[in-house]
Amino acid sequence: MQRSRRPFINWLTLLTLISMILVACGGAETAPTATTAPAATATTAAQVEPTTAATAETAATTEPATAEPVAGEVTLKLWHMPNGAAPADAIQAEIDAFEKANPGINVEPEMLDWGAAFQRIQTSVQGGEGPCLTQLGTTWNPTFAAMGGLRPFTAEEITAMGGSDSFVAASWATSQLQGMEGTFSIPWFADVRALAYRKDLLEKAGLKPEDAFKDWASFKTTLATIQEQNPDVAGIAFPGRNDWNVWQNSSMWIWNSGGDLLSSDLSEATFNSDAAVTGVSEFANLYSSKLTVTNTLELNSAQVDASFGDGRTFSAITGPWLISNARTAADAGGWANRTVADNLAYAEFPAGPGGSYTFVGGSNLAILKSCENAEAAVKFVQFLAGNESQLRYSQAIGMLPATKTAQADASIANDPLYSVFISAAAKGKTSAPIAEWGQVESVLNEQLGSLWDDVATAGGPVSAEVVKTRLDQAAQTVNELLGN
Amino acid sequence: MALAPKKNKLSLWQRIRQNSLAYKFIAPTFVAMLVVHLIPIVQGLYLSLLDVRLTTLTLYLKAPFVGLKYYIEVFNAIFGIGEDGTSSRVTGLINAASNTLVYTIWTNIGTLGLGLILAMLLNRNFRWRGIARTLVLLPWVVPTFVTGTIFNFIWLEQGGLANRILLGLNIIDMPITWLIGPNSLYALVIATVWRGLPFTTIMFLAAIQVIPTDLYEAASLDGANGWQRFRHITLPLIKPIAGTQVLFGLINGFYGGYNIAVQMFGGGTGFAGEYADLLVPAITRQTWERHLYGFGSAASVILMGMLLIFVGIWYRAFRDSLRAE
Amino acid sequence: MGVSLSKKAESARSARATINYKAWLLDRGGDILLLVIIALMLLPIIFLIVGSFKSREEFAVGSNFFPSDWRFENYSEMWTRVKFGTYFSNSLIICGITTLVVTILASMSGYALARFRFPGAGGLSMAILGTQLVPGTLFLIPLYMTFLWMKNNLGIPLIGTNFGAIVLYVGFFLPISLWIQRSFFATIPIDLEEQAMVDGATRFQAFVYIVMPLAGPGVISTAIFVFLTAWDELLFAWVLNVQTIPVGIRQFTGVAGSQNRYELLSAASVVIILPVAAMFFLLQKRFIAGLTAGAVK
Repeated sequence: MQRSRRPFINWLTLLTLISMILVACGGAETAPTATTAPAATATTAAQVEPTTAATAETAATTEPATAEPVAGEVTLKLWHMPNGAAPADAIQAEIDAFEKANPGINVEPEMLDWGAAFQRIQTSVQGGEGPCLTQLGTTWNPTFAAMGGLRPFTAEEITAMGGSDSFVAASWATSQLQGMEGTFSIPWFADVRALAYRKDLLEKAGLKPEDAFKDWASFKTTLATIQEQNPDVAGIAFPGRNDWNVWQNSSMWIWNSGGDLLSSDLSEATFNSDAAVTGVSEFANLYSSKLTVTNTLELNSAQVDASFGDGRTFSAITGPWLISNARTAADAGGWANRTVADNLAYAEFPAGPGGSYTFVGGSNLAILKSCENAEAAVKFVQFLAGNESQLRYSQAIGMLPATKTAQADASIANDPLYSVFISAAAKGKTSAPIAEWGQVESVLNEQLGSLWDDVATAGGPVSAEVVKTRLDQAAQTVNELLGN
Repeated sequence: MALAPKKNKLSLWQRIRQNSLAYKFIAPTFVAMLVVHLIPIVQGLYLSLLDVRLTTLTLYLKAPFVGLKYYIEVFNAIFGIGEDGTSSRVTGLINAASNTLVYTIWTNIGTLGLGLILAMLLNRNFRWRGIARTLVLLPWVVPTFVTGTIFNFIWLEQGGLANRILLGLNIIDMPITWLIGPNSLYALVIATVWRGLPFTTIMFLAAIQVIPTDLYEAASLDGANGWQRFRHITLPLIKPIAGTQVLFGLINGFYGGYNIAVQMFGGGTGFAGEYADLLVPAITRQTWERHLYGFGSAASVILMGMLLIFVGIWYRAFRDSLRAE
Repeated sequence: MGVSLSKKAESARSARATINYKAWLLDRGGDILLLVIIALMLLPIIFLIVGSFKSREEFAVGSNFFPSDWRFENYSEMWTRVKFGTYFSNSLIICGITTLVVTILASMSGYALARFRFPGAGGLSMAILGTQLVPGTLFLIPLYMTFLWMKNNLGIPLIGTNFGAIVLYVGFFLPISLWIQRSFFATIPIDLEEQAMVDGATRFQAFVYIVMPLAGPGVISTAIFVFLTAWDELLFAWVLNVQTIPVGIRQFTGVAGSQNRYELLSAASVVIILPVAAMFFLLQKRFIAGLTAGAVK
């Protein structure tokens, strides 16, 4: 190819080509805006003018009335995430029970992975095509509500589900959007965090749970004592940076230290306050004080759970799903017959100067605006929020039911393991109901993740300044995102 | 060109008519490139001048125009100009850029160096040559996202395969922390080299195989030793293919690493920490987690600029061998 | 005289013997080095295969290399835990059709670029190379918006469909493929086509019946390259909602500890590696031959 000897002419041709394309694009440019404009106005309206938002809501609620009554065959598409160890079976059990009770409605489930789910829901909100119903991570509700993609639940529908008071307060909070009236999703299940520990080792140390996990100081003493008595067992395990639960785990130390993530009007970051810095430093220095599994900072949640199951650690920051691990036979992948299984116990997080709070996450159910069978969809949501389904599903996936009624059921309330989560959930805190939360979370994860790198390489306790620098950086970026 | 010998003055139209089959052959490709590459690229360049975020994404190209704001932000931060507190989105990007440089250099050294050694070892005559050549290719069929997952477990400080082998062979006496702290970048580099090695090896093997053996024999008669033969015969003759490999390596280094990093550090969350965060994962985070689409586009353009600088250097270094072709 | 001559020959022989001995030693050293490198390259794959038989707990703890109890049932559970069959067939369809279309189009265009000197050829070549230097993150959003627009306005279902993925990947891999193809065509002597055309074949017939068969190895190596790259693509598939294996396989992991099933993920990985590995072995000889030809030109 002798042609390559004429690079200048080639570049010229390329430039001409590009300019041609530019011209071609000029035509294409206007078209997408024109068609997607209604969605755009809805979005801005949602944020600026509550009045138009209200009309949007009423419009949405009148829609199902004009839709055909549930007659004949109706197919509902449902998107859900991999909840629990056998997610497809767990959701199918609910669908079967629902379809039996509601002939004529078919539910078609489709599983999405957590990494892609947000994007897929966003596409269906913007493209107007997707499922009728979708599972939403609790932190996602405000974003999609602000985009105008979710069909709000009416007051009657909520009353039929027992009213807002029948749900765990922290979970219910995630169904709202700041500055906009309406309930955009219904809490499905709650993911509550607590401290799992080994009863036998605590007894051996002659300690009582109410003293051992009372406050930060007694907690550290407990871990040190256990480590001294059991050279092969570490005090605690928790995931560091390589996990999905980076900000969640740290936020509990911020709350318990008396700090909060955002200011009370949710307009400004406060996770860099002195109290927050103290809390995060306290958490970080569990590692520096050598009270953790040596490689805890590189582990993810599954690996942390496994090292607890393997008896390597006395305690772990985790959730209610270990209960089913402990009660499942070994050949089905459980822990039955292990020392851990008989000695699993939970405690609420040791109280700091600000009290003892835990993180409540989980998932909600939302109906998309584009859903043509909203009435049938509401029926399914009501079924899933009902007592029977709440109990069965939450236990199948190792989470906590989102309704107080289900939590008060004897099978949960009288269970010594679950009961810890119920009282913890009652004082639970969660993410802020603002549209920008996803971004806040992403920034926090990045800086807290880097903080774990700092901690791992410090070779000693990290100073409050190091923690403060990270949190300040995050606060600055978050404030930019929040428009300050 | 022999089929179109009349290269005397034909009008443009005549030349186009004469080559009508070529245009027919090119047409589908051109349309596909236009739709999937060229139009989106031009839009992407324009997007980098707009304030496109989640709330303005539906406006798309009608979003508020901010001009060179993002570029100026990044350049100010690099050269320390402007206000004191630089936004962490910019510092994060600069940090990721420097990691990307180190990552690219090391993955290139690894795949090219090891690939060349492996190719020379495989070029000898030995009994199991066929099987050996096949086995060496295997990592290539392991998808990158699986590679990331496997290496997440291989690198575990406690009980991970890598440390157990190193400890067992007494190469180290303390387990190394791979997945957090400064080593995480090298954990990423090694996983990338592992996945990329087969392709480089096979390309080098192809190049070495066609070197006439009498060249080596003649050199031996002249008293050249093994190193001299390698230095003066093998290296110059494989330079063209090495050039292609370096270009591929540069592109993969700058634009790659996403799948492996995202799976190796946290099973899909995507933040590899300050030590191992690369530009593409960082840009993806800015774009899809924070919905700063405009800023993400500007960052992509800067990334492309970085690559083009290196492609320029590459071009100077390998110009002769490209001509020789 | 005779003595000294034989002495000289002897010393020469002994010198050669030392050289041979040295070469032999070097050769054995090479063998050992090769063995070590191959072992290191295979180890992660063995780790994956062995891990696919572990229990969930055993895998997550990660301390045993071999499973204490070989769980073959992982391979049946894996298909039900995630609708893996759907993702698997989607990936096969998408990657298969993409490979086919790209190979055909790249052959045509590569041939045109190699044989014709048409106005615009230089610019096109530059544009083709240029596309390879643009990061995907720059045109991912515009592509997403364009596809969305096409779906909403023209009714072309490009988002979340296999069709959309094929369109995407065809456009994606065409430039690099046709560049590789072009260099293969350049190695084929032009006389054969000229002869065929003298005998009355059209240019197109000459291309199909004379050139294509000769370009076989090059076509196969391009096809494998395209297939392997498409098989591995995550970012675009994820954003454009395409249900391929890279997207689906992530359903074996999740946000909470209990959602992670690494042993099933490993089993799934082994299953998806198999067809590719099989194809690889079947075509390997031709593939390497093809790359050789392409690499040298």
